[in-house]
Amino acid sequence: MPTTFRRVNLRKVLVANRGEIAVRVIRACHQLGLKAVAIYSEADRTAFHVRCADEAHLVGPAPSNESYLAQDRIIEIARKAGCEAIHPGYGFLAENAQFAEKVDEAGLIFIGPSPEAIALLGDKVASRKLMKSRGIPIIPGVADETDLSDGALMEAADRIGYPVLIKAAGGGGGKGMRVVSSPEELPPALDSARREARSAFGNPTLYVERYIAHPRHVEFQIFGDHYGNQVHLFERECSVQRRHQKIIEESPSPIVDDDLRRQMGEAALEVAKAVGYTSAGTVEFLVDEDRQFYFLEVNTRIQVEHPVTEMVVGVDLVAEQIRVAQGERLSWKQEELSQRGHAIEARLYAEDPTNQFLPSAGPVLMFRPPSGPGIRVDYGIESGDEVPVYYDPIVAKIIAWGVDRTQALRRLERALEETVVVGFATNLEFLHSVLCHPRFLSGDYNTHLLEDEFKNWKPSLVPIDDFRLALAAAGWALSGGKKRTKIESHSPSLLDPWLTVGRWEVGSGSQR
Amino acid sequence: MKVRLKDLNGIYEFDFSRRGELISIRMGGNEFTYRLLKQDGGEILLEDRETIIPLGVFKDKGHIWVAVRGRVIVFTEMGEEGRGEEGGMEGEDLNVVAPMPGTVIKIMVTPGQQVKRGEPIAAVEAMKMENIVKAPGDAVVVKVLTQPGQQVGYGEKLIELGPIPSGEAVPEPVG
Repeated sequence: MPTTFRRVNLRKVLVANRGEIAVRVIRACHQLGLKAVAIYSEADRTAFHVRCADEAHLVGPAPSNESYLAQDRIIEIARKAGCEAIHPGYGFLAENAQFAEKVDEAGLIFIGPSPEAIALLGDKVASRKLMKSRGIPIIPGVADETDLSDGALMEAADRIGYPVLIKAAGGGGGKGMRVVSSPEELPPALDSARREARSAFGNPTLYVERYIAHPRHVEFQIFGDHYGNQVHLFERECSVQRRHQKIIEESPSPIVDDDLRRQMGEAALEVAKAVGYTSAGTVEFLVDEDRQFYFLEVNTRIQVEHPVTEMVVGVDLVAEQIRVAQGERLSWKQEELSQRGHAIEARLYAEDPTNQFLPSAGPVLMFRPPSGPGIRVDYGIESGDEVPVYYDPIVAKIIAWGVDRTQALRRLERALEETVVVGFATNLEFLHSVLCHPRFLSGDYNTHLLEDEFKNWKPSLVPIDDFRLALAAAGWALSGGKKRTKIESHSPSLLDPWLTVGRWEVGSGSQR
Repeated sequence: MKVRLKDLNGIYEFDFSRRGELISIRMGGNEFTYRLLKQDGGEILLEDRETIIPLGVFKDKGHIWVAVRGRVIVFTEMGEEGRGEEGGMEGEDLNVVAPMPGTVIKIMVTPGQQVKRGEPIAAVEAMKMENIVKAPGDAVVVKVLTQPGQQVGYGEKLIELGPIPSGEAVPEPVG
């Protein structure tokens, strides 16, 4: 391990992302006294993240692959704008080893782990092998990943014990997946799964692993610097998912007691040490009903749900990423870190729960984020903006902290009730329903919660008095109302400065 | 003025009138009057028997959005006669609209073509997902209002359908 690492004082950082995470990174840059440069596609010309930055450059047309995924163009902009570093956010190029490598080669600093760590941990087969060799529990599966014949899979199933899960190597989304409860059912299930996998991914390769009936998704935040220091910052539970998309996360996890936390924390640190991990990362585990935990994968990026860790541990993870990238030592020692209180995050998505959760888009006619004690909102839009069709639907994250889980929950419920979004459909009411559900209240939930309890969810009816008011308001709007029916953006940079000067009186003295 | 609005749950017909600050709706023989206290952009204050309620009301592309006490309702204005939801097409024109904002990928019909209820007539793509739009009832294609590559908003008209002239059987497809 080097005793000194190249120590730089960054001055300008390029934020290679958009929406709420771009705003988050820009804030961290400003917090550290650095300038932030934004990139925008043609659809994001006047977006909130652009307005938050010190300067912004057009990166390409609306589609992601022509803009936020255009690696060479992004590096070119970083160079021309005089940026010394690039922060990739999450999604887009955050876990693209090739991009991280290109950034290095261009003489710029990639704010994240090394290209080698990204590549190794991005390879699920390789990372499972590594974890197994370090004694980290993985979901029992085939013994030797080079032999995946029917015979090998059947032998594995006998060894693992039924029920088993058949999974396709070529992709996810449930295609090529089968749960098999007994040896007799296995051969026909393998045939059927192979056919489905071949047709969906062009790859008939299958794996077999132990089926975990009611898994809980518990992940650990890890962090490393360039001096060999690594810590974990405890866990987040992210089991509330719809089609593998997280919508509510919390820390601490209701299922993790001190003993389990210690064990899983040690495993997470072992993962970090195994690859000499630097910057922020997340080690994902599944916990089964018997509270056995199994390694799933490592995400080599800052995650969407990082705020719950920040609120409970009292840290700024994004600022720390920038510090570590500058060659500074980790700000925390493991012994100094602890969890205080409880935090819960709800992800506000531009999607329509009454129309199969299809993505919605449209003008932000009105956006009023909540506030109050213990409330934090990371948003990517303001009133007057536009939610485009091209990108992922996350619009804002609403996080509540409380001294305990009950207070955090009550605060988050009230915050959601206070939130107003007009102009496009969102999952706001759906989120509220989930938070109020007895199984979420009791902490007794797993990754099947939404399928089990919310299949036929419908928004509640509006009380009749309120509905009549709404009809009257609609009638008024149709009868002409007033011409301007859109809330103008409140961004100061767009306001005429003379409007804020107020009344001047010449020679008025101090008496009124 | 007569107002006819539709939302997720149903259709609402009422008479709307305004006398200065007072706005009234009359439905089902009952009249409800509110005083409009303030209007600032889309935010209005209505007074109902000494209770003041803030509302947000916005018109956008044929929809009227109303935010009231923590709820958001989306209304669509309906024409005089109203439009059938379940493919009831007697004597009416029906527009087929985009079910979500996105890009039109293909239009599977041409003007003059007859379609059956449930038949796929267009495909719209957003965020890498394809959604097939189907004919709401047996009808004839009157006009195609969009084309592949076009960006469309939620509820935007794609295809105009009309009733099949009575007495005609569905002819064999041409070409």
